[in-house]
Amino acid sequence: MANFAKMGGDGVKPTPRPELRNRFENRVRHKFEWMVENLNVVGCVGCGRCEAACMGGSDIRGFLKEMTL
Amino acid sequence: MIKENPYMPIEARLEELIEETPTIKTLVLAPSEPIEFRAGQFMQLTYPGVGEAPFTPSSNPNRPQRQEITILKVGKVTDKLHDAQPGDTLCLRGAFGKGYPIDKFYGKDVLLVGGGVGLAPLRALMYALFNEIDKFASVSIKYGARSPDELLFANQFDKWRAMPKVDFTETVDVPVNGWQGNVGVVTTLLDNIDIDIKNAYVVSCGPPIMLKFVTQKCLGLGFKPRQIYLSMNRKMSCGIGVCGRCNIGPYYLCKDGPDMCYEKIMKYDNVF
Repeated sequence: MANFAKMGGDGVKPTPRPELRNRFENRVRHKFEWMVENLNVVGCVGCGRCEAACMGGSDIRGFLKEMTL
Repeated sequence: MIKENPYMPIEARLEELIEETPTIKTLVLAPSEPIEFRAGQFMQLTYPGVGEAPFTPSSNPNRPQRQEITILKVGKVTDKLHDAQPGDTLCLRGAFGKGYPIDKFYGKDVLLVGGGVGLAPLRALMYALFNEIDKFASVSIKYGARSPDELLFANQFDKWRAMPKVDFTETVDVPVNGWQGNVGVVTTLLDNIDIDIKNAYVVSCGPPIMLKFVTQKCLGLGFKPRQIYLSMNRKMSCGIGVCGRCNIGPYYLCKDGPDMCYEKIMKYDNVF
């Protein structure tokens, strides 16, 4: 998804989020921080896929509930 | 003004194509219905069958029947737009964004810093400022381009210089063709500005690297971050804060900008 917000003029203008970590930060903060600021809802729909994939078994939905209540 | 369906474009006839510099052309468009816009608001211009890209009109905001859009040739859509012929039908939608906060500038010194094609959005602001010039303490315009050939709107510089309360200075990075004026990047013009820094606003538009150095320079001169407005243009796609291509932190440039107060965005990464 590096080209998602790519601008015209190669070499003149960068993409705003060039590296994977920038895009990952945007994804996480958009869902859990900026959506709460802008719309007063968390961007998590509660599907649980992140918990299924987490090798440490983090209860992410639980954390979010605690953090946003 | 946004229509009921913000995705529905309005047909616009290409009236005239003005060649400003070898890489920059101004498209004069006559939309089938007037599109109201404030200085700094942008529009989505479509070349049918090729794509859509965001541009800020460079014409007087008082004339909603005719939009002039000044375009630098950089990619697929702009290549096609440069090759368009008068009489072709293009599509416009908009105007989006908030535009420049002109009411904040009343009674203050306004410093405009432009680079390259970044003078185009500033020209719309200049028209808006010139329309009610009595309300501002002064308007000071600093403009930099790569070479004398690439100075945008060069035939209008003398007209602007002759305006009361207006100071216009231009500079080029590379002096060729017997250039007699200032040489150096645009920030060198900020060294000896004659304005009351506590009571002034800076508005800047240009390539991201220029915005970065203008911001650093202005902060060094004593401007506060809240006095600096930057045209943070990204490749806006939807125009209404939905798609997430243009966000800087929680701010959507298409909805909250594209001219952002530096105070709001300074704490986020990859601003420039």
